[in-house]
Amino acid sequence: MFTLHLAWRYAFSKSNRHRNAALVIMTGIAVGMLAIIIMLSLMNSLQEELLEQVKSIESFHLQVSFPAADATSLKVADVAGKLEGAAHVVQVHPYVNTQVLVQDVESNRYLTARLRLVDDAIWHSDNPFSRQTRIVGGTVGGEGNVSLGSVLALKLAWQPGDTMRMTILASGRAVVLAPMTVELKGTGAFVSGLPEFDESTMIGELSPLEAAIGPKRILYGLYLDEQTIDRQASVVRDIKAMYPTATVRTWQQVNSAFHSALMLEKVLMYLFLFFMFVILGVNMRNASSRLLHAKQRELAILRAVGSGHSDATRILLGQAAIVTLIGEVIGVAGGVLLGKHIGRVFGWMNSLQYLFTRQNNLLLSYPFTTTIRASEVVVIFLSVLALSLGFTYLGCRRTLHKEPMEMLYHD
Amino acid sequence: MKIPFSLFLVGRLLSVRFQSRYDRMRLLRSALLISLVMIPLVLALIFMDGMMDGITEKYITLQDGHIQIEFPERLDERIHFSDSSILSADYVVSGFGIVYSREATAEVRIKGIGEDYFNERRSSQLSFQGSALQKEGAVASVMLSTTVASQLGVQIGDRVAFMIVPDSSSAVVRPVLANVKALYDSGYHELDSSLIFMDIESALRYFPKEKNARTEILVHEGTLSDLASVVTQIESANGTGTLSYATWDEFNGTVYRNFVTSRQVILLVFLMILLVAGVYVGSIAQEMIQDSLQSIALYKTMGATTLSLFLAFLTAVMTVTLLGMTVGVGIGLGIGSQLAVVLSWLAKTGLPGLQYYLLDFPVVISWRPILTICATMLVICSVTVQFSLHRIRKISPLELLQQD
Amino acid sequence: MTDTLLQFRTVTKRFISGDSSLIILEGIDFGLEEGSSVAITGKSGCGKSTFLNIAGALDRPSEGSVLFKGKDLGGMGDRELSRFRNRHVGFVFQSHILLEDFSALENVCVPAMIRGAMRKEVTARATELLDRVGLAQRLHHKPGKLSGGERQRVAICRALMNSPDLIIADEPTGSLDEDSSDAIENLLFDLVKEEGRTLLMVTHDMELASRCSTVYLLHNRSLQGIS
Repeated sequence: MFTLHLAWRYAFSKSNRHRNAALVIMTGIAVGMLAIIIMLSLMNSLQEELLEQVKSIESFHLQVSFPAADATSLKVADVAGKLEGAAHVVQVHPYVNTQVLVQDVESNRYLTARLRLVDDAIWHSDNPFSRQTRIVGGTVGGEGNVSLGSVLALKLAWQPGDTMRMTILASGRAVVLAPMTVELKGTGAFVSGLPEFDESTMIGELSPLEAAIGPKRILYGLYLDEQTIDRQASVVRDIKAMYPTATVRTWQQVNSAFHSALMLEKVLMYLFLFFMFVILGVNMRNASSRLLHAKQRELAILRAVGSGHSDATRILLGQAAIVTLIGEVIGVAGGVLLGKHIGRVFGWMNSLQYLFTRQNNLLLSYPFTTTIRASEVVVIFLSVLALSLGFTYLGCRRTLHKEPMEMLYHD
Repeated sequence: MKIPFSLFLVGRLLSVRFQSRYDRMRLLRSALLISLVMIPLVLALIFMDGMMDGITEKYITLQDGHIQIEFPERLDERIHFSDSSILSADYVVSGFGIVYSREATAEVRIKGIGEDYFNERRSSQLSFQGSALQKEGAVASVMLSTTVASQLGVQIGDRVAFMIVPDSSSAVVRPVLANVKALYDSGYHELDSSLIFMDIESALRYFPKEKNARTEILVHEGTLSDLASVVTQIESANGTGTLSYATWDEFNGTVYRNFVTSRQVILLVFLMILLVAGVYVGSIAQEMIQDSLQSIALYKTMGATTLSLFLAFLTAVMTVTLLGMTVGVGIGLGIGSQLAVVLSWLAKTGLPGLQYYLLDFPVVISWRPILTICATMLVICSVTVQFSLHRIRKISPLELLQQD
Repeated sequence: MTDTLLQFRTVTKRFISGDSSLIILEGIDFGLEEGSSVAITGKSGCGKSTFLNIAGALDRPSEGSVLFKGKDLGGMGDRELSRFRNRHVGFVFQSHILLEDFSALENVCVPAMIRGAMRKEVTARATELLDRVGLAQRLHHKPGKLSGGERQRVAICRALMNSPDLIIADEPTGSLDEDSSDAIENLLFDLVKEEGRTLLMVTHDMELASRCSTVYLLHNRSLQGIS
């Protein structure tokens, strides 16, 4: 208790002329922690949002495909049923992605687009796609119908009920691929949240066109339960056991380029954070050395009245721990609070800059959210504390090597 | 010669001759840390600006031009190049289609170009393999990107088929064949994966000029801020009446906005780093005050004002900060000028995520963002330092006497 | 007829600590004539240094007023007081208190530099003063290389640098041995007389005090003249 009492006094006593030093160190730690937490949480949120959209909308959690020879002999419904029986698999949706030339017959506008043919269950069952996607006009699903991404619908000047004439590439009799024209009714429009998806994709029912498209191009999109989405190894193994010739690709593999780009950005961000950490570390090293230097006289007196090395070290470590912990708690609390209201803060900043520029700033008007991961905060918290205690300990070793009179002389 | 006391004190605070070893090390540490902060910031800025400028240049020179004038006839032949603002004018036809081979399909933008389309500026943006685009017989000639070619599994000399968006509702979509005459690589995957070139004669057959013809104009650097005036000049010189046109940033609004947003995100990150560094500089100032308590009290006893002392310490700390910044920026620029070496090594790693980046671009140092960062750093430091220097106001000469 | 340089009018000084209040000086009336030398004596802790601090505008009274050449110091802001101290007061402390990183010459120059004097004039005057106190050969030596007596001589020169009206000395020989004390005493009085300054001194040394024209005793928070 004496150690703690003395440590607290050394940190914050009014009679302690170095009290300001402790406050400045605390402020530095608090600001550093706040900056690190805000950056991390913004990055996490942005990446999570993007990845969630890609996983849910673009690619499914797992994608299974078969070699041409096997695909012709397999029945789609049987394969889907068997895959759904695998552990951790929640839903299976056979689908085809194909590029098409699409014409809105009524508006007479043409574009290239992507047609995703998938079973209607994707709209009506509870799955990541249906949770993310909103229907903004008309209705979706149904045989002979197709729904359009909202941006695509706009470009085609689509109205509900318009006839969509599509030229797709199907299996030819004489050639591998041959153009084929189909007409479907454009019954609805959707917004998925993924801009590239909304601007290029139409979704229709697979079964009517299955025969024309051919079995070789059919893929099976799997949704997994929450625990397995990012740890799919066991599911992949089970599927390979069921179908040894199948190619099973995770969402990371399907979107390897995009995923790799996001990981690259994450690494860069961690580098910047590490950089901030280094600045914080230098600041702390400097500060601990100053606090130690300021306490030499007291240390000398403590040694002179019989205190040992370890007692003195404990007191100074206690002081460092108190100052660091308080600074960190303030920084984390500030980071969490600011993170919760980041949208509002950016909104104010946007309003302020609007006074000068008369334009909304794209970044500041984006509806940011933050994702603060407890594990990351704990790691940073403990690292900063370890750094502070480490520097203090090393400084103590250096200082307490001296004899008490030597310490008094230097003071 | 009269020397203001503040200036004299600044000289003493910064002079290595009159400082103790500890004080010298403190100043050196501070300058070193500031320069270490500036180096990666400058590097990141050079990379980011260089890459964005490079990508913009590729889109402008290869896809859209600075200005696209919608005019069905050949306006390019009527434009006078004595007008110093225009670098080149080319008649192009563009449309969309799906190219397919036995192996795969790809959605592409097809651009019909003339033989002299690839001038010096455009040629510098890509590498070629094969021969010039010339129509041979009834089959169109195309130049694919190496990206599309490898996706389709084709090479020079192979044939590919297209489904092209028809020009009217009565037209039936038929496959169109084309010979792969050449392959190009611009170095930017996002552009290469969707752009192919066709000889203009064939392109005019598939994409009627009334809806799809444009005159694509490249302008000199000095005219970039006033593209509208270029169009006005063309209108008045050629008596065409008001021309319908679009500029690059309008044409590629999403790409441009993404650039602006990415840049601002990076600057936000920089701001955070500068904030933490600024706090460090503030603590250095606080240390200096702490170590000079007795001296400051004595100066006050002798009649020095709080303001003169404040200015002296502020100037000393900001001078060290400025020095550190200058060294850091200098080193950053030095390393940045050799960025090409690092990037080419990075490109060889073959990381799939790198396809979203451009790694081969000319390093251009734009001073405005660098100076903005430096100015921001100075502002942040001056604010944090002033909090620390507030202590001077509270130091009373009595403290001097009480310490004894 | 000499003018009154410094005047205390019912000056009271109290220090407040928490709930309690400690009165150091109470209702002191005091006048210091130009060209005179006054010593204040008293027991340790009686408030002599507080008295000097108020006289030198280093501290303000809790009640009453201090007038310098008829002007109330209480009405001055921080800037004015700094200017006042720079031009009208020279301090000599018990432990000299020199700037450790400055040479003897530079230490003496500092008050004049604060005033904004010309460099040549400053150096010439400082050299002259140090020469008069026998430190002509030690101009560029830092305080660490000077003896206690030498440092106190530098402090005296510094106090006289701007030719202030009033020299305030707080136990000027308090930390010196007997021989050095005698030398410093003589130096101080000689220089003050030569320069025509007014001296206000605090000392325990009655022999030193007796060299002043007037001696006061600070006792029970009030000032009593004893010679």
